[in-house]
Amino acid sequence: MTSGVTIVGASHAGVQVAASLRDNGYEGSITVLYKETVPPYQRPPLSKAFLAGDVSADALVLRGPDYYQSKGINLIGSVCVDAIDRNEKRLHIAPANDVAAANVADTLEYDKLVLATGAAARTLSVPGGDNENVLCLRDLADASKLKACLQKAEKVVVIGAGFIGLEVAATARKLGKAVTVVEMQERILARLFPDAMSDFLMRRHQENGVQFLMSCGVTSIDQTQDQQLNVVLSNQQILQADLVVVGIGAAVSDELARQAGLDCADGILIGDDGMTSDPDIYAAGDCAAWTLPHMSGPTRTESVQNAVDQAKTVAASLCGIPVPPKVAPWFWSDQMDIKLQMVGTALEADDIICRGEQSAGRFSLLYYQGDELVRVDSVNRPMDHIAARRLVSDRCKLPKEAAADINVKLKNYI
Amino acid sequence: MNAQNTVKLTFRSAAGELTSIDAPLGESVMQAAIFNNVDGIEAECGGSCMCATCHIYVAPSLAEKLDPPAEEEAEMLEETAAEKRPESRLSCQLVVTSEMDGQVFDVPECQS
Repeated sequence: MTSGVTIVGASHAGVQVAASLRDNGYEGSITVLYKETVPPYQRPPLSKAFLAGDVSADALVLRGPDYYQSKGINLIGSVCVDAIDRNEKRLHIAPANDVAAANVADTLEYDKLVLATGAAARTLSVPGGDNENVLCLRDLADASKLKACLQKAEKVVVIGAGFIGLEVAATARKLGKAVTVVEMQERILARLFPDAMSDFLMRRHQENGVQFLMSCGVTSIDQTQDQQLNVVLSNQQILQADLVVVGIGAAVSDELARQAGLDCADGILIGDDGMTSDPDIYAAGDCAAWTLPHMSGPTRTESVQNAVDQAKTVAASLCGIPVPPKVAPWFWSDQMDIKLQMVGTALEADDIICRGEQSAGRFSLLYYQGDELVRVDSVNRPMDHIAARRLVSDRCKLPKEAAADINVKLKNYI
Repeated sequence: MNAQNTVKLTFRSAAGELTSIDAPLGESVMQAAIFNNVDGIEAECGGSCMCATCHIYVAPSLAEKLDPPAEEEAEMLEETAAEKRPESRLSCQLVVTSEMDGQVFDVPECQS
């Protein structure tokens, strides 16, 4: 069997490592191992356009059908990697499903290994949390199942008011479903946003017809005789539903790395070059944690931008060329008519400046530590966001008076 | 695929390399480019008009015929990685139409 670079995982990070290796002129063999049966696809539309039925699964492909072959990338689906033998530089692999080809070897040698194993949706560990009408959303199979169930459902309960939960709530409302969101915290997206943003988003969802039950946990989910679900809450209240969607975050998939003895914290620890504690093993994407400005300790980021950028870093390192500069992470979320774009991960700020009118649904929040701009959240102000990516990454000086004045373009300070 | 349902589009890289594709009517230009492995169009956000990494230049004669960019596309175009020109567009926001048949799109040197 050939060695070369072997990549575990074929989502945004895994595919980008392979693509960037070829873009960089790497001529060795590239093998990508992944569990699913379908070709690699875009994940962000799963909770939005795909779930709403606006785009089909075929339209989600990350690359065209002949891409992998034309680039000499050996894409092997339906397999899972059970263990890494670091001494022998060999992977132990097994079929992940019935579709797996019979001729897949059970071991595979590598020269360099890249882990792009991602993260998995957290499941609800309460009685009834495993009911067939209690679904989570992480991959295309989840989304396909949810889409089918959502079409038939009338009453949907969403557990968790994070991005996935809120995007699903907005999509379900678009399809005319009754939607109730249950959240443990006092406000939505509480770990990520200040009160003002949480309140704004919650109000917009309420105006869109979503009911919220805050500071509330779920005790059990009971199936009734007529196939309905009773969601029992910590305050004894019972919500009736025919579909429950669980959006309570994701847990890093780092078992393989831990078993192999690689340094892990919340995520597989990597340096600025993408290398793990083993010089022959790299990691990228949702599974990897590295140092970011304005954050204490290694940080794991779940976003497409992070996956793509860490993948480009890994590919550059493997080719012995300079790694691209590290940029401030950016994210987005689409909910109803709200285009939410964020740059920077800082959770602490001494001052938050509001630019634009919250009441008009078009504003940005600019976060400062001292006189340094560390993060910008934009609601329907893409121009602020695009400029902010450069301002935060390049640590440009933006006077607070300019930040607050919508007549002053932020790009003038780049 | 029925030939009547597609048009011929050509993408020219910054280095002058040409890639011609058959693009289905009604799809986005970005989608057609990704599906046919056109280099230089990253489309990191998958067509949500969020990332400005599917920037292309259309021919001035076509630019005149197209509906002008909607507000959010226009705003995203303000700060593209490559130079913004009057004929700059985000290809995820351009729907393939019959009047595009035979068009050449220039792909900028960088997207991010």
